[in-house]
Amino acid sequence: MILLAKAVSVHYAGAPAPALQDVDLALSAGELVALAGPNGCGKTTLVRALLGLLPVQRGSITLDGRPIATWPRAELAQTVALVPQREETPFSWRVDEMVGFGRYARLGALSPMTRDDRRAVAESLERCDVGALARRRVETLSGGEWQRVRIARALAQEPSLLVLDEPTTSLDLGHEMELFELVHRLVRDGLAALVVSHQLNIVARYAGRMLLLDQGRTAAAGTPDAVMRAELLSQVFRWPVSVVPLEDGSPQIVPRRPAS
Amino acid sequence: MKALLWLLLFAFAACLVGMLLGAVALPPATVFRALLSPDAPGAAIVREIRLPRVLLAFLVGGALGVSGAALQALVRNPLADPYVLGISGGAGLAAVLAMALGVGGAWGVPLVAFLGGLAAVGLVYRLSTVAGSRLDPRVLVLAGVIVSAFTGSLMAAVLTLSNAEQLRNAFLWLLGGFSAASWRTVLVFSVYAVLPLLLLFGAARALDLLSLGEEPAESLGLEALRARRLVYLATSLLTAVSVAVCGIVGFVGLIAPHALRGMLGPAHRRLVPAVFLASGGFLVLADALARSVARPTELPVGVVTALVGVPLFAVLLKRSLR
Repeated sequence: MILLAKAVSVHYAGAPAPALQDVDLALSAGELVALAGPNGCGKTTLVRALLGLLPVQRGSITLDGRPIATWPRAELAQTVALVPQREETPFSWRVDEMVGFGRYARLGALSPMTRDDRRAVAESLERCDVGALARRRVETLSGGEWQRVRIARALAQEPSLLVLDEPTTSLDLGHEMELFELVHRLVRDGLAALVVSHQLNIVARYAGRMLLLDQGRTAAAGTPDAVMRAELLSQVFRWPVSVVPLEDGSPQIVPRRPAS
Repeated sequence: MKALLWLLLFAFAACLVGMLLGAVALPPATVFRALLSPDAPGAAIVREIRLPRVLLAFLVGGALGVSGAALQALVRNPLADPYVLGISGGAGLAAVLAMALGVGGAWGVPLVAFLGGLAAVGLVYRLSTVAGSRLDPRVLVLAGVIVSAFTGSLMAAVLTLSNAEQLRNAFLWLLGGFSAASWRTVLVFSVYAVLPLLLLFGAARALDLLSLGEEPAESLGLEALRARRLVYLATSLLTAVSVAVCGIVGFVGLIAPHALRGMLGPAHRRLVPAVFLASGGFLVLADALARSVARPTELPVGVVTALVGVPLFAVLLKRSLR
């Protein structure tokens, strides 16, 4: 077990209701868990709590058996890598420099990169199929290339857990599937991954388990078959939906139009 | 490495030009002889006036340039600079108050100015993060301008109400200049500037990460809050000491980082030392120009840096709004 969250509650100061209430989550190596739910359901809050970026009022979060709050940032970065939803930089970084930032937590303030660091960067570039872009400037990349570069940077951290926050928001269908295939390969090679996504139909085909949040509470958790139920999803998303099986058997959600 | 050597050469050449120009025309041979021997003719001018002046201009230029580069990474905006963000104005107002009230002296005024600079940057930061926690680059520049205008008018008020005899001097000081440079001011500046400069050189990798934004920086292992505080404190101190010894010289922190990022890339391990050398050389040349263009009258050096900096600022602003 890499990550274990038990009965986690988060209450922002001044907010009328808790942003998260009694949420459980467990993640092991070689497992892809999808985190889904309507806008404002607490997905981002949960991710930030899991990364120790905000204080948890009740419940416990442990990473490798140690409470998350006791992890120094630099040590945490060598175990968990986050690909944030949005990211902009005013400067014109080269792709290999950007991926090299994944080594920050392992480098001294002024010491140059070692052979080990350079190897990790080169491997990460190759695994994400962006080796050919290494000398390009990041602002010249397409949306799909930029996402793969950011995943390469996360891999250069050599983490055991990869967290992706809505990684395909601005990608077209082909690039979106490419990205999920990439994450799928990384998980098959032993990484644990938590993917926050609105793309229920896609995550239902890649995730081993899903966690569906609604208004800060767990609406459903378990295999895609257990979570992707029409009645439940209609309730959570406040819109009538049907669930139909694909030829491979995976459940797919289809929103219905109201009868006129 | 090669770029650093070229910049070292540039800085040295700039200092040479600075040594050869002055109110009193001295032939180059006389200047070199005076540098080597304290008894040579003209030695008093060369060793007690020109040398400290060139050194001070170089150090102040380097400090303001490094502050600019660090602030640009911190607020993730190539328009940032100690002057644009209002730090210079806050430091200047505090320094003027201290001088008008006769408190502080040569060693105390920089510390008072430091507090003024911190207050100003704090205010600018508060103003530009009203809507949520996101820092809008455009609002940031606007807030800096507002705070600068405010401190500027308060400075004018303090100067008007204080001793009329000192008014002209204080007015010149306000526009920035090195005519009061001495070995003492070089010493004061060096003592205060060495620690923040070393801290910023050492924070090069942290600056790289800060430029990506808080969430990416933290997830890559940076203690972002601590790094931000360090950069604020170090740049405010460098700006304050600069203002205390030579008044308000604007835009120095804008020019070299912009030019060098294009040549060397944005990585701060290379950029920060390069900016130090280039900005130092730039301010020495600006000072040389300021005192020779309308001889025997000296132009405030801040006028020269503004003539170069404002057009660049305009170009960068246009680009950032695109």
